[in-house]
Amino acid sequence: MASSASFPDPEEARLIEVARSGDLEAFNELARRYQDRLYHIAYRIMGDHDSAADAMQEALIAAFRGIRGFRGGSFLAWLTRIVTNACYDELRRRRRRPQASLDALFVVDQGPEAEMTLPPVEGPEFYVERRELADLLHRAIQSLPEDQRIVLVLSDIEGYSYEEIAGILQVPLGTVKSRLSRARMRVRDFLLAHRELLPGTIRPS
Amino acid sequence: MPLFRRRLKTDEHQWVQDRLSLYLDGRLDPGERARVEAHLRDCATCARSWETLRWTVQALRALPPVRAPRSFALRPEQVARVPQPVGWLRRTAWAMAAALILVLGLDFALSLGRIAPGPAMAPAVAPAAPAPQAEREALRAMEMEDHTRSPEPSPAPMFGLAVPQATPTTAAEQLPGPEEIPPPSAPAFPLSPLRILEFLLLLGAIGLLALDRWRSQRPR
Repeated sequence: MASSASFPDPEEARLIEVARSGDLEAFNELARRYQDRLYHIAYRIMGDHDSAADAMQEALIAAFRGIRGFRGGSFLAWLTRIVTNACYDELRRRRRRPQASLDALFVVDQGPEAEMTLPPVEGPEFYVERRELADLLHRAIQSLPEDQRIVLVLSDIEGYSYEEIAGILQVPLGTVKSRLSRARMRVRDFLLAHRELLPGTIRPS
Repeated sequence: MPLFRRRLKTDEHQWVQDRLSLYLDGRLDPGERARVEAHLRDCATCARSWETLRWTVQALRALPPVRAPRSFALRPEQVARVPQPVGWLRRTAWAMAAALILVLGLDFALSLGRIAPGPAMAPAVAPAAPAPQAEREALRAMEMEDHTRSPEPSPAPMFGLAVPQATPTTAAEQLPGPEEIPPPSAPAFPLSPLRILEFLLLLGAIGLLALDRWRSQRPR
Protein backbone atom coordinates (compact mmCIF):
# COMPACT_ATOMS: atom_id res chain seq x y z
CA MET A 1 0.00 0.00 0.00
CA ALA A 2 2.70 2.45 0.95
CA SER A 3 4.50 4.06 -1.88
CA SER A 4 7.81 4.89 -0.31
CA ALA A 5 9.17 1.75 -1.91
CA SER A 6 10.48 3.51 -4.95
CA PHE A 7 13.03 0.87 -5.74
CA PRO A 8 15.12 2.03 -8.60
CA ASP A 9 13.36 0.17 -11.35
CA PRO A 10 15.75 0.05 -14.34
CA GLU A 11 12.90 -0.21 -16.82
CA GLU A 12 11.17 2.80 -15.31
CA ALA A 13 14.40 4.78 -15.30
CA ARG A 14 14.87 3.96 -18.97
CA LEU A 15 11.30 4.99 -19.83
CA ILE A 16 11.75 8.28 -17.96
CA GLU A 17 14.95 8.97 -19.87
CA VAL A 18 13.22 8.31 -23.19
CA ALA A 19 10.17 10.33 -22.20
CA ARG A 20 12.40 13.25 -21.28
CA SER A 21 13.52 13.43 -24.86
CA GLY A 22 9.89 13.98 -25.86
CA ASP A 23 8.83 10.39 -26.58
CA LEU A 24 5.10 10.25 -25.93
CA GLU A 25 4.89 6.46 -26.12
CA ALA A 26 7.41 6.06 -23.32
CA PHE A 27 5.50 8.55 -21.22
CA ASN A 28 2.20 6.77 -21.87
CA GLU A 29 3.77 3.52 -20.76
CA LEU A 30 4.73 5.19 -17.47
CA ALA A 31 1.26 6.70 -17.11
CA ARG A 32 -0.32 3.31 -17.73
CA ARG A 33 1.61 1.85 -14.82
CA TYR A 34 0.22 4.34 -12.36
CA GLN A 35 -3.05 5.51 -13.81
CA ASP A 36 -5.25 3.44 -11.47
CA ARG A 37 -3.59 4.80 -8.35
CA LEU A 38 -3.52 8.34 -9.66
CA TYR A 39 -7.12 8.12 -10.74
CA HIS A 40 -8.18 6.88 -7.33
CA ILE A 41 -6.53 9.91 -5.72
CA ALA A 42 -8.22 12.26 -8.17
CA TYR A 43 -11.58 10.57 -7.69
CA ARG A 44 -11.46 10.77 -3.90
CA ILE A 45 -10.40 14.40 -4.00
CA MET A 46 -12.76 15.55 -6.73
CA GLY A 47 -15.71 13.43 -5.66
CA ASP A 48 -17.04 12.42 -9.08
CA HIS A 49 -15.76 10.60 -12.13
CA ASP A 50 -16.09 13.43 -14.63
CA SER A 51 -14.05 15.88 -12.58
CA ALA A 52 -11.54 13.18 -11.70
CA ALA A 53 -11.05 12.38 -15.40
CA ASP A 54 -10.62 16.07 -16.22
CA ALA A 55 -8.03 16.50 -13.48
CA MET A 56 -6.20 13.34 -14.60
CA GLN A 57 -6.05 14.49 -18.18
CA GLU A 58 -4.73 17.91 -17.26
CA ALA A 59 -2.25 16.44 -14.84
CA LEU A 60 -0.81 14.02 -17.38
CA ILE A 61 -0.46 16.70 -20.01
CA ALA A 62 1.31 18.92 -17.48
CA ALA A 63 3.50 16.00 -16.43
CA PHE A 64 4.56 15.25 -19.99
CA ARG A 65 5.36 18.87 -20.68
CA GLY A 66 7.20 19.26 -17.40
CA ILE A 67 9.01 15.93 -17.30
CA ARG A 68 12.35 17.69 -17.63
CA GLY A 69 11.61 19.12 -14.20
CA PHE A 70 11.59 15.63 -12.66
CA ARG A 71 14.70 15.47 -10.52
CA GLY A 72 14.84 11.82 -9.60
CA GLY A 73 13.32 10.18 -6.55
CA SER A 74 9.94 8.50 -6.74
CA PHE A 75 8.31 9.08 -10.09
CA LEU A 76 4.94 8.10 -8.65
CA ALA A 77 5.29 10.71 -5.91
CA TRP A 78 6.16 13.30 -8.55
CA LEU A 79 3.08 12.33 -10.59
CA THR A 80 0.97 12.37 -7.43
CA ARG A 81 2.08 15.91 -6.75
CA ILE A 82 1.04 17.00 -10.23
CA VAL A 83 -2.31 15.25 -9.88
CA THR A 84 -3.03 16.91 -6.54
CA ASN A 85 -2.05 20.27 -8.03
CA ALA A 86 -4.42 19.67 -10.93
CA CYS A 87 -7.17 18.80 -8.45
CA TYR A 88 -6.48 22.00 -6.51
CA ASP A 89 -6.76 24.00 -9.72
CA GLU A 90 -9.93 22.24 -10.76
CA LEU A 91 -11.53 22.72 -7.36
CA ARG A 92 -10.55 26.36 -7.32
CA ARG A 93 -12.13 26.76 -10.73
CA ARG A 94 -15.39 25.34 -9.53
CA ARG A 95 -15.70 26.70 -6.02
CA ARG A 96 -19.28 25.73 -6.03
CA ARG A 97 -19.58 24.42 -2.50
CA PRO A 98 -19.87 26.97 0.29
CA GLN A 99 -17.70 25.38 2.92
CA ALA A 100 -19.08 27.32 5.87
CA SER A 101 -22.46 25.60 5.89
CA LEU A 102 -20.73 22.24 6.10
CA ASP A 103 -18.38 23.37 8.81
CA ALA A 104 -21.33 24.24 10.99
CA LEU A 105 -22.47 20.63 10.90
CA PHE A 106 -19.44 19.28 12.66
CA VAL A 107 -18.85 20.52 16.11
CA VAL A 108 -16.11 18.33 17.40
CA ASP A 109 -16.62 16.00 20.23
CA GLN A 110 -18.56 18.01 22.75
CA GLY A 111 -21.82 16.14 22.24
CA PRO A 112 -23.48 13.93 24.82
CA GLU A 113 -21.65 10.73 25.57
CA ALA A 114 -24.47 8.63 24.16
CA GLU A 115 -23.50 9.77 20.68
CA MET A 116 -20.08 8.24 20.91
CA THR A 117 -21.27 4.70 20.53
CA LEU A 118 -19.07 1.90 19.28
CA PRO A 119 -19.61 -0.12 16.17
CA PRO A 120 -19.71 -3.89 16.53
CA VAL A 121 -16.57 -5.91 16.91
CA GLU A 122 -16.35 -7.31 13.41
CA GLY A 123 -14.45 -4.23 12.36
CA PRO A 124 -14.94 -2.01 9.38
CA GLU A 125 -13.09 -4.13 6.85
CA PHE A 126 -15.96 -6.55 6.92
CA TYR A 127 -18.54 -3.93 6.20
CA VAL A 128 -16.72 -1.54 4.03
CA GLU A 129 -17.53 -3.66 1.02
CA ARG A 130 -21.07 -2.67 1.55
CA ARG A 131 -22.06 0.20 -0.59
CA GLU A 132 -23.67 2.12 2.23
CA LEU A 133 -20.52 2.53 4.26
CA ALA A 134 -18.34 3.17 1.22
CA ASP A 135 -20.78 5.82 0.00
CA LEU A 136 -21.01 7.42 3.40
CA LEU A 137 -17.22 7.53 3.70
CA HIS A 138 -16.98 9.07 0.26
CA ARG A 139 -19.47 11.77 1.25
CA ALA A 140 -17.60 12.33 4.49
CA ILE A 141 -14.37 12.87 2.55
CA GLN A 142 -16.12 15.31 0.23
CA SER A 143 -17.35 17.30 3.20
CA LEU A 144 -13.80 18.12 4.26
CA PRO A 145 -12.07 21.38 3.40
CA GLU A 146 -9.77 20.85 0.40
CA ASP A 147 -6.50 21.01 2.32
CA GLN A 148 -7.62 18.41 4.84
CA ARG A 149 -9.24 16.22 2.19
CA ILE A 150 -6.08 15.95 0.14
CA VAL A 151 -3.94 15.03 3.15
CA LEU A 152 -6.48 12.44 4.28
CA VAL A 153 -6.67 10.86 0.82
CA LEU A 154 -2.89 10.68 0.50
CA SER A 155 -2.49 9.25 4.00
CA ASP A 156 -5.41 6.96 4.75
CA ILE A 157 -6.41 5.92 1.25
CA GLU A 158 -3.09 5.96 -0.59
CA GLY A 159 -0.90 5.06 2.37
CA TYR A 160 1.73 7.76 1.96
CA SER A 161 3.80 8.58 5.04
CA TYR A 162 3.73 11.99 6.71
CA GLU A 163 7.11 12.80 5.25
CA GLU A 164 6.10 11.82 1.74
CA ILE A 165 2.94 13.93 1.96
CA ALA A 166 4.95 16.90 3.19
CA GLY A 167 7.17 16.46 0.13
CA ILE A 168 4.30 16.02 -2.31
CA LEU A 169 2.34 19.03 -1.06
CA GLN A 170 5.43 21.10 -0.19
CA VAL A 171 4.14 21.91 3.27
CA PRO A 172 5.81 21.48 6.68
CA LEU A 173 5.48 18.17 8.51
CA GLY A 174 3.51 19.80 11.33
CA THR A 175 0.93 21.03 8.82
CA VAL A 176 0.45 17.49 7.53
CA LYS A 177 -0.04 16.19 11.07
CA SER A 178 -2.58 18.79 12.09
CA ARG A 179 -4.56 18.64 8.83
CA LEU A 180 -4.72 14.86 9.03
CA SER A 181 -5.81 14.93 12.66
CA ARG A 182 -8.60 17.39 11.96
CA ALA A 183 -9.68 15.55 8.83
CA ARG A 184 -9.97 12.22 10.63
CA MET A 185 -11.95 13.77 13.47
CA ARG A 186 -14.34 15.35 11.00
CA VAL A 187 -14.87 12.15 9.05
CA ARG A 188 -15.53 10.34 12.32
CA ASP A 189 -18.05 12.98 13.36
CA PHE A 190 -19.69 12.81 9.94
CA LEU A 191 -20.13 9.05 10.31
CA LEU A 192 -21.57 9.47 13.79
CA ALA A 193 -23.92 12.18 12.62
CA HIS A 194 -25.19 9.99 9.77
CA ARG A 195 -25.04 6.60 11.38
CA GLU A 196 -28.71 6.00 10.62
CA LEU A 197 -27.59 5.59 7.00
CA LEU A 198 -25.26 2.71 7.84
CA PRO A 199 -26.34 -0.88 7.37
CA GLY A 200 -28.26 -2.28 10.30
CA THR A 201 -25.49 -4.50 11.50
CA ILE A 202 -23.11 -1.68 12.21
CA ARG A 203 -25.62 0.87 13.29
CA PRO A 204 -25.17 1.52 16.97
CA SER A 205 -28.13 0.33 18.96
CA MET B 1 -9.39 26.04 43.63
CA PRO B 2 -11.95 23.80 41.97
CA LEU B 3 -12.29 26.08 38.96
CA PHE B 4 -8.59 25.87 38.21
CA ARG B 5 -8.56 22.11 38.59
CA ARG B 6 -11.51 21.76 36.27
CA ARG B 7 -9.74 23.90 33.73
CA LEU B 8 -6.70 21.68 33.93
CA LYS B 9 -8.84 18.61 33.42
CA THR B 10 -10.47 20.09 30.33
CA ASP B 11 -7.07 20.98 28.92
CA GLU B 12 -5.93 17.40 29.43
CA HIS B 13 -8.90 16.14 27.36
CA GLN B 14 -8.01 18.54 24.60
CA TRP B 15 -4.32 17.67 24.82
CA VAL B 16 -5.17 14.00 24.37
CA GLN B 17 -7.74 14.61 21.62
CA ASP B 18 -5.17 16.61 19.67
CA ARG B 19 -2.80 13.64 19.76
CA LEU B 20 -5.10 10.70 19.04
CA SER B 21 -4.34 10.83 15.33
CA LEU B 22 -0.60 10.79 15.97
CA TYR B 23 -1.08 8.08 18.58
CA LEU B 24 -2.90 5.99 16.00
CA ASP B 25 0.06 6.26 13.63
CA GLY B 26 2.58 5.54 16.37
CA ARG B 27 4.07 9.00 15.98
CA LEU B 28 4.20 10.03 19.65
CA ASP B 29 7.33 9.89 21.73
CA PRO B 30 7.22 7.43 24.65
CA GLY B 31 6.41 10.08 27.25
CA GLU B 32 3.47 11.46 25.29
CA ARG B 33 2.24 7.99 24.49
CA ALA B 34 2.22 7.02 28.17
CA ARG B 35 0.30 10.19 29.01
CA VAL B 36 -2.30 9.49 26.33
CA GLU B 37 -2.70 5.88 27.40
CA ALA B 38 -3.05 6.84 31.06
CA HIS B 39 -5.76 9.31 30.16
CA LEU B 40 -7.61 6.84 27.95
CA ARG B 41 -7.70 4.38 30.86
CA ASP B 42 -9.28 6.98 33.13
CA CYS B 43 -11.57 8.88 30.79
CA ALA B 44 -14.48 7.04 29.22
CA THR B 45 -15.34 9.92 26.89
CA CYS B 46 -11.86 10.13 25.39
CA ALA B 47 -11.65 6.34 25.22
CA ARG B 48 -14.83 6.28 23.11
CA SER B 49 -13.48 9.06 20.97
CA TRP B 50 -10.33 7.01 20.44
CA GLU B 51 -12.26 3.86 19.53
CA THR B 52 -14.49 5.61 17.01
CA LEU B 53 -11.52 7.41 15.49
CA ARG B 54 -9.62 4.17 15.09
CA TRP B 55 -12.67 2.54 13.56
CA THR B 56 -13.06 5.41 11.11
CA VAL B 57 -9.45 5.25 9.94
CA GLN B 58 -9.65 1.48 9.53
CA ALA B 59 -12.77 1.94 7.44
CA LEU B 60 -11.04 4.57 5.28
CA ARG B 61 -8.04 2.30 4.75
CA ALA B 62 -10.34 -0.53 3.72
CA LEU B 63 -12.18 1.49 1.07
CA PRO B 64 -12.15 -0.54 -2.12
CA PRO B 65 -9.85 0.90 -4.80
CA VAL B 66 -11.44 2.71 -7.70
CA ARG B 67 -9.92 1.83 -11.03
CA ALA B 68 -9.45 4.24 -13.86
CA PRO B 69 -12.53 3.90 -16.08
CA ARG B 70 -10.52 4.27 -19.28
CA SER B 71 -7.01 4.68 -20.53
CA PHE B 72 -5.53 8.10 -19.96
CA ALA B 73 -2.79 7.65 -22.52
CA LEU B 74 -2.11 10.99 -24.18
CA ARG B 75 -2.56 11.54 -27.89
CA PRO B 76 0.03 13.55 -29.80
CA GLU B 77 -2.40 16.38 -30.53
CA GLN B 78 -3.06 16.76 -26.81
CA VAL B 79 0.53 17.62 -26.09
CA ALA B 80 1.32 19.60 -29.25
CA ARG B 81 2.93 22.84 -28.20
CA VAL B 82 0.67 25.78 -28.89
CA PRO B 83 2.29 29.20 -28.86
CA GLN B 84 1.68 30.37 -25.34
CA PRO B 85 -0.10 33.69 -24.97
CA VAL B 86 1.94 36.28 -23.17
CA GLY B 87 0.78 36.15 -19.58
CA TRP B 88 -0.36 39.18 -17.60
CA LEU B 89 2.77 38.98 -15.49
CA ARG B 90 5.03 39.50 -18.43
CA ARG B 91 2.77 42.18 -19.89
CA THR B 92 2.86 44.09 -16.61
CA ALA B 93 6.63 43.68 -16.46
CA TRP B 94 7.07 45.15 -19.93
CA ALA B 95 4.69 48.00 -19.08
CA MET B 96 6.82 48.75 -16.04
CA ALA B 97 9.97 48.67 -18.14
CA ALA B 98 8.41 51.10 -20.61
CA ALA B 99 7.37 53.39 -17.76
CA LEU B 100 10.91 53.17 -16.42
CA ILE B 101 12.32 54.37 -19.74
CA LEU B 102 9.85 57.28 -19.77
CA VAL B 103 10.73 58.27 -16.23
CA LEU B 104 14.43 57.98 -16.97
CA GLY B 105 13.92 60.26 -19.97
CA LEU B 106 12.04 62.74 -17.83
CA ASP B 107 14.75 62.61 -15.21
CA PHE B 108 17.41 63.19 -17.84
CA ALA B 109 15.50 66.15 -19.28
CA LEU B 110 15.13 67.63 -15.81
CA SER B 111 18.81 67.22 -15.06
CA LEU B 112 19.67 68.99 -18.32
CA GLY B 113 17.49 71.86 -17.20
CA ARG B 114 19.25 71.87 -13.89
CA ILE B 115 22.70 72.20 -15.41
CA ALA B 116 21.58 75.26 -17.36
CA PRO B 117 19.27 76.90 -14.87
CA GLY B 118 17.02 79.67 -16.01
CA PRO B 119 14.19 81.49 -14.25
CA ALA B 120 11.71 79.85 -16.63
CA MET B 121 12.71 76.38 -15.46
CA ALA B 122 12.06 77.01 -11.83
CA PRO B 123 8.27 76.64 -11.62
CA ALA B 124 8.23 73.54 -13.78
CA VAL B 125 10.73 71.73 -11.61
CA ALA B 126 9.48 72.85 -8.25
CA PRO B 127 6.71 70.25 -7.70
CA ALA B 128 9.08 67.36 -8.17
CA ALA B 129 11.45 68.60 -5.55
CA PRO B 130 10.19 68.16 -1.99
CA ALA B 131 13.32 66.90 -0.29
CA PRO B 132 12.64 64.47 2.55
CA GLN B 133 13.07 65.81 6.03
CA ALA B 134 16.05 63.61 6.90
CA GLU B 135 17.85 64.69 3.81
CA ARG B 136 17.15 68.31 4.63
CA GLU B 137 18.68 67.78 8.05
CA ALA B 138 21.78 66.17 6.60
CA LEU B 139 22.18 68.96 4.11
CA ARG B 140 21.79 71.51 6.79
CA ALA B 141 24.59 69.85 8.72
CA MET B 142 26.81 69.71 5.68
CA GLU B 143 26.13 73.29 4.93
CA MET B 144 27.07 74.31 8.40
CA GLU B 145 30.38 72.60 7.95
CA ASP B 146 30.96 74.11 4.57
CA HIS B 147 30.03 77.64 5.32
CA THR B 148 30.02 77.88 9.12
CA ARG B 149 27.52 80.62 8.88
CA SER B 150 24.42 81.37 10.90
CA PRO B 151 23.15 78.49 13.08
CA GLU B 152 19.73 78.70 11.38
CA PRO B 153 20.30 78.87 7.65
CA SER B 154 17.44 80.09 5.51
CA PRO B 155 15.61 77.40 3.52
CA ALA B 156 16.83 78.85 0.25
CA PRO B 157 20.34 77.41 -0.02
CA MET B 158 19.74 73.90 -1.15
CA PHE B 159 21.35 71.86 -3.81
CA GLY B 160 20.29 70.20 -7.01
CA LEU B 161 16.57 69.56 -7.21
CA ALA B 162 15.74 71.71 -4.26
CA VAL B 163 17.28 74.89 -5.53
CA PRO B 164 14.33 76.03 -7.62
CA GLN B 165 12.05 75.92 -4.59
CA ALA B 166 12.36 79.64 -4.38
CA THR B 167 9.48 81.07 -6.37
CA PRO B 168 10.24 83.48 -9.18
CA THR B 169 8.96 86.49 -7.24
CA THR B 170 11.06 85.89 -4.17
CA ALA B 171 14.01 84.66 -6.16
CA ALA B 172 14.95 88.16 -7.22
CA GLU B 173 15.13 89.40 -3.64
CA GLN B 174 16.58 86.36 -1.92
CA LEU B 175 18.91 85.12 -4.60
CA PRO B 176 22.14 84.34 -2.81
CA GLY B 177 25.37 85.75 -4.00
CA PRO B 178 27.47 83.73 -6.44
CA GLU B 179 29.90 82.65 -3.77
CA GLU B 180 27.06 81.11 -1.75
CA ILE B 181 25.60 78.88 -4.46
CA PRO B 182 26.62 75.31 -3.64
CA PRO B 183 28.14 73.39 -6.54
CA PRO B 184 25.33 71.52 -8.39
CA SER B 185 27.15 68.24 -8.21
CA ALA B 186 27.56 68.22 -4.44
CA PRO B 187 25.79 64.94 -3.53
CA ALA B 188 25.87 62.75 -6.63
CA PHE B 189 22.52 60.92 -6.24
CA PRO B 190 19.91 62.76 -4.25
CA LEU B 191 17.03 60.49 -3.24
CA SER B 192 14.32 62.34 -5.09
CA PRO B 193 10.82 60.89 -5.68
CA LEU B 194 11.81 60.35 -9.31
CA ARG B 195 14.76 58.24 -8.26
CA ILE B 196 12.56 56.22 -5.92
CA LEU B 197 10.06 55.70 -8.73
CA GLU B 198 12.83 54.57 -11.08
CA PHE B 199 14.11 52.17 -8.48
CA LEU B 200 10.66 50.71 -7.79
CA LEU B 201 9.89 50.31 -11.49
CA LEU B 202 13.19 48.55 -12.11
CA LEU B 203 12.68 46.27 -9.12
CA GLY B 204 9.08 45.54 -10.11
CA ALA B 205 9.92 44.70 -13.71
CA ILE B 206 12.75 42.37 -12.72
CA GLY B 207 10.65 40.75 -10.00
CA LEU B 208 7.66 40.13 -12.29
CA LEU B 209 9.83 38.70 -15.04
CA ALA B 210 11.48 36.36 -12.55
CA LEU B 211 8.05 35.30 -11.19
CA ASP B 212 6.80 34.71 -14.72
CA ARG B 213 9.80 32.55 -15.53
CA TRP B 214 9.35 30.58 -12.32
CA ARG B 215 5.66 30.00 -13.05
CA SER B 216 6.27 28.79 -16.57
CA GLN B 217 8.89 26.30 -15.42
CA ARG B 218 6.86 24.87 -12.57
CA PRO B 219 5.17 21.56 -13.51
CA ARG B 220 1.79 23.10 -12.73
